[in-house]
Amino acid sequence: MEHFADLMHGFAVALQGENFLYCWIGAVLGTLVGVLPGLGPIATIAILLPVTFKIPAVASLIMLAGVYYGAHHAGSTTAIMLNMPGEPTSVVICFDGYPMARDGRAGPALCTSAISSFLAGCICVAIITLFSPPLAAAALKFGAAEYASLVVLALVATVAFSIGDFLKSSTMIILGLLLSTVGTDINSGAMRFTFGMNNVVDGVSFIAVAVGLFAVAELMLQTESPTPIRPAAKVRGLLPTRADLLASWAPILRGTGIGAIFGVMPGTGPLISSFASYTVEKSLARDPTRFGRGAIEGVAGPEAANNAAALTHFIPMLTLGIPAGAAMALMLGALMIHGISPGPRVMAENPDLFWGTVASMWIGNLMLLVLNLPLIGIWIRLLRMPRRFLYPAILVFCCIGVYSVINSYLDVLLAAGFGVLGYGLRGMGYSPSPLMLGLLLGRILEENLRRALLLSHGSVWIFIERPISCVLLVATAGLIAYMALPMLRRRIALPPH
Amino acid sequence: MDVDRRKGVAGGLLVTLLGAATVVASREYDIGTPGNMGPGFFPMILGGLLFLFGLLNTGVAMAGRPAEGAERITLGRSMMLPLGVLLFGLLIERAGAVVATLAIAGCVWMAGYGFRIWEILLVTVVLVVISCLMFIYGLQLPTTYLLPW
Repeated sequence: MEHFADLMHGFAVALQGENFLYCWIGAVLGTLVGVLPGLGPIATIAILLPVTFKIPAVASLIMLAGVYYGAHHAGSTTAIMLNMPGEPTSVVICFDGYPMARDGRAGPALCTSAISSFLAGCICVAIITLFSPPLAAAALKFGAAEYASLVVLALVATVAFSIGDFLKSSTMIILGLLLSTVGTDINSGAMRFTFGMNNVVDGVSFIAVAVGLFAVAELMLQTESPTPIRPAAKVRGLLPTRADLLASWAPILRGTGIGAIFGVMPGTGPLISSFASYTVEKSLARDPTRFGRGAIEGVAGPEAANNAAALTHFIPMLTLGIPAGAAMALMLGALMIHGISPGPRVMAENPDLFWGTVASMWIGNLMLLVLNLPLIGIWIRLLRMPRRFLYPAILVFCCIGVYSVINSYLDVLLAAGFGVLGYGLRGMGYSPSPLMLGLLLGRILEENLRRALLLSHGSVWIFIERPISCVLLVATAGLIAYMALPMLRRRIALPPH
Repeated sequence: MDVDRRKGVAGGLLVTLLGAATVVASREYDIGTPGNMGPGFFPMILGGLLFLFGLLNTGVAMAGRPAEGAERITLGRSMMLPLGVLLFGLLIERAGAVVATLAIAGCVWMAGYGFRIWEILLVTVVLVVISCLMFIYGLQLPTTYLLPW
């Protein structure tokens, strides 16, 4: 209970004028990119990162967090109204949300989705408050060996749980790790793989990489598909009926539970959570045939799971300094640029940052509840904005953002190169997210690996002898076995779209 | 070989090649010993792993497993977008922010989303104004950044 006092302190921090303002900006921006297909939270966070160098660390993390959960919150709006998921995570909401809207029940669907998100948000802020302090306390005992093993576990888990081919995800992680070695080697001062480019002396700009892979490549992919203009459903009456609410509360709680668990694990996050929740609701339903034709449980559960996972996704990054996904990896980078070394010490040494961010999540979710519903008309109109207006603007923001990090034009060229690379990789079925994770974790892994082996005079037994490290490695081995035995590999069945 | 398989094999071979190149390049740096790693140790291991996974990817693609989640890509007008970014990078310090912004607008226009003349003018002017404001007030760079001559 003592930590609820900390949370109250966090509320005091988050409600300070500046922080409150940035929370609001983040939530609105997140909603905006959540509605606009093609610009996701990862790309937005990457473009915004240079802006955050100019504002205090607490405010920047609050804003970036707002973008992240705001986008997941808002993606469902377009899914319900236009059958177009604003974010990949709201694909599931299309299954039952759009049929509801077609039946003239768009209002209740939107309202249920907003309430589910908000309830899941409340529960997850409590979960973060309860579980983060013990986790950070345990991690304080970690030495170099434990940290190296933890990073390996996180990377392997990312591969094991992510959707898609695990060979390709592993390849992308290794590529990301390799990219992280570019630049000055901390121990010896040697320049590695810089090829005479002075912009990569301090390492490859992860902002340039993220903008290239997630913004430029994404826009390139979209040029191939014509803008689908679908008729928007009409909103008549907003409030769900009593029957709707009665049918929703259990899926909301189950969805929150599923999302909270999946959100913490690297690689899974909101996307798998919402699919998992949908599958669970469908299998629990007395009449599963209603699903796909406008079952309210199919909106309430996945939406709660989606938002829950978006929030608990922060736990590993905030308490251990190990990001569970690409967006978290970027936020980790933002903290490092502010001179904060992420890890278990953040909570004790920088309580404003930790508790302020957690409290801002609750405030942000409340703002979204109040903001989203009345403004649906505006979001829908924005969605209709032709690409010929949108694309040049997005590209100019990308370029200025990348350039401004160290005022290097070479970084902009790098972003263009990574745009083409990302486009090519997507064409061959490689996903860019694991690469981002590898890039941000590479230095942590190398440093701890080297330190651990220095202490043990080169004996790899140190990773087995130390109990926590051993447990982490056994878990890693378990995951590898799980991947290697396809018979054991249970996939979450993706319902037909 | 069908397109999917060809793509998979090409991707796998590319990764293999990159891994091999990394191993070779890492030999430039001091490898050291496990107890006292030099700057070349970690990249060397990663290069080896990349080589291995490249071979595995190639093998799987040869065996004919369809590429999961591969998206359709072309070398057509989509290339105009990175070209715009590239031109921005090349022009920003030589020709200034105004010209660099114009280059992006021009590239998106060339990608063919059906601009009308007045739209081109409007979008370009608005963008140039925004980017100038960002350069001077956001990044606090001297005005010579906008039009250096």
